[in-house]
Amino acid sequence: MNLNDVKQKFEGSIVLYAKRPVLFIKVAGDMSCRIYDLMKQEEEQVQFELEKFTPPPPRIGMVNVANSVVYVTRTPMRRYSLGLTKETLCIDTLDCVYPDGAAMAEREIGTLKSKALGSTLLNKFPTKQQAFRRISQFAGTVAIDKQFAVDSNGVLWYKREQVGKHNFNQLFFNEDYEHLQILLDKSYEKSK
Amino acid sequence: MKKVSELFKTKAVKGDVGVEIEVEGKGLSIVDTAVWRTESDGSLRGEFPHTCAEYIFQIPIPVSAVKAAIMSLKESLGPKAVFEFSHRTSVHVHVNVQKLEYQQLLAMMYTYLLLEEPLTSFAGKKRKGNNFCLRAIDAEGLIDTLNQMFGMGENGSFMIRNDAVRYSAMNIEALKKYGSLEFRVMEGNMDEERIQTWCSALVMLREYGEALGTPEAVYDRFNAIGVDAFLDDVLGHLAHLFKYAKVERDVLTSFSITLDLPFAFKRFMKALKARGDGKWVVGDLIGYDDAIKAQGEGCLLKGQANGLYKIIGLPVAMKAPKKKVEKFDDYDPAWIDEEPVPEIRDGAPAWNPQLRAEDIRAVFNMNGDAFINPAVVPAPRGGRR
Repeated sequence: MNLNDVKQKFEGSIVLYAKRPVLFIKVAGDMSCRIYDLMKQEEEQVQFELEKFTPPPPRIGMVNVANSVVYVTRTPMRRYSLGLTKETLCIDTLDCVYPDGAAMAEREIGTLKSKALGSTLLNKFPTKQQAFRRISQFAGTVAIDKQFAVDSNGVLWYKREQVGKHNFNQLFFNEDYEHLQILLDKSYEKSK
Repeated sequence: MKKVSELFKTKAVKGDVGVEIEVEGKGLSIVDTAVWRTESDGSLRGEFPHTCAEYIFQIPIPVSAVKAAIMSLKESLGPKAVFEFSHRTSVHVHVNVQKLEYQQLLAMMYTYLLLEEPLTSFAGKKRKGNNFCLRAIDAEGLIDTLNQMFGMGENGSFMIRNDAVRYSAMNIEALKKYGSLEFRVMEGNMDEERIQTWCSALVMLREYGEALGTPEAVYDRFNAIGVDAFLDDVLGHLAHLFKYAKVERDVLTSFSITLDLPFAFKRFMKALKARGDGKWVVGDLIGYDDAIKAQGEGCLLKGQANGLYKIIGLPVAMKAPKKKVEKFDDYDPAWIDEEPVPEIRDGAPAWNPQLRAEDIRAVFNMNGDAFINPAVVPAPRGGRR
């Protein structure tokens, strides 16, 4: 792959480098690359090796950021980048509790350097019990997987919708949304 | 519910499938026969028509004739043609769904989404994650559009935005253009057996959707019989070609991602039954005929089109008028926001027939009740970047 192809395909996008989510910042003429590790929160320089840079995990979903959550999806747009870019990311704030303001959450994800986004890409979420403990002590919202979140007002969220309530111990789905229980019971996406 | 052909007002065609094959290579040429035509495609590398070309069916043909058609193309190109199928090439298949009723179309789409992984594995493993044919799992933005299609009934079909769906593995934009669903996931090849199998499988999805009738029925069937039997149920004698070691895990992931779609449709049908005749409900959208009728009855409607679309001339008001409104100038509306007054041309509202659903913010009934379209107006504390 030549320099221009690498620039077009990688620069400014989140990809996996050796299975770690990184922001590909820049490639130089000698094919050395500046990347930013989302989990370590530090920049490093590596030599470009095509087989080490792979597409990010397909699903994004709920991101625990700024003491609350945003729901992030990728839009199917015609882009040459291999990974996630500002243009293809759609960041939705919910009508939930944002103790630090919804804008802060959006801004953080928009930098493409967010550790929170990295955790979601790696499918790392707190357990239901951890989430309940957190929101019973502090105002905010916590995602427990890519699709569900609970907030300190006792609301259960599925993607962008209020679909039920909780009592800081158990979840209760609203009428017409009981079918979603199966997703919590079976955790299909966590098996990946 | 309406048939796809009625809903999208597409030109009626017979035949099951249309096929487009992108090719790079050497010794290629223009083929212009009863079955095939040739076009240049900007996404390919090379010089048209000698080293790159796209071969397209002239008209849709019966699915049983696909293999013979591919063989005829190879014959027309002759022995000097050398095919090179790079990552830029692909085979796109349009399945004619004009005859399906809207809920049957949704059933077909839901069936496809459940089986998207095994179908992709057969058609193009290398194309997984390809930016020009993103699966629902790659780009969940598609599910958003589908949620509107499922959750708003036929009106949801107007939520299809070209830029948001065109490069998905199942391109629903083609519904508006041709009354077809376009499947873009197959990698470039000229293997007549493989393309025939692929087309047959896609037509089986259509027949399955038609037979079961609603997405809810597909959901119930899937839950009743499980992944393996569901594959058999949908794909019949071809099912074994779409099975692999981890197919159950993959299909269940798709099930998880798309779980709410059949229930969104169910909720819509429930709301439809609950409302009385002539009452608008939240999320209702309005077509041309209804808009004229509603305006004649004194309802004021808002529609603002942006981008390439002109502003349409249906006014918006906070309240319904006390007297019948003959034309916009008769009424001094209180605007919902600071947006400019729609342009009135020649004393009559200018109507854009290509009005998109998202262009309508709210509808108002004779009682003065305003019904806000939640897809357009964000929740007070929410928002979308």
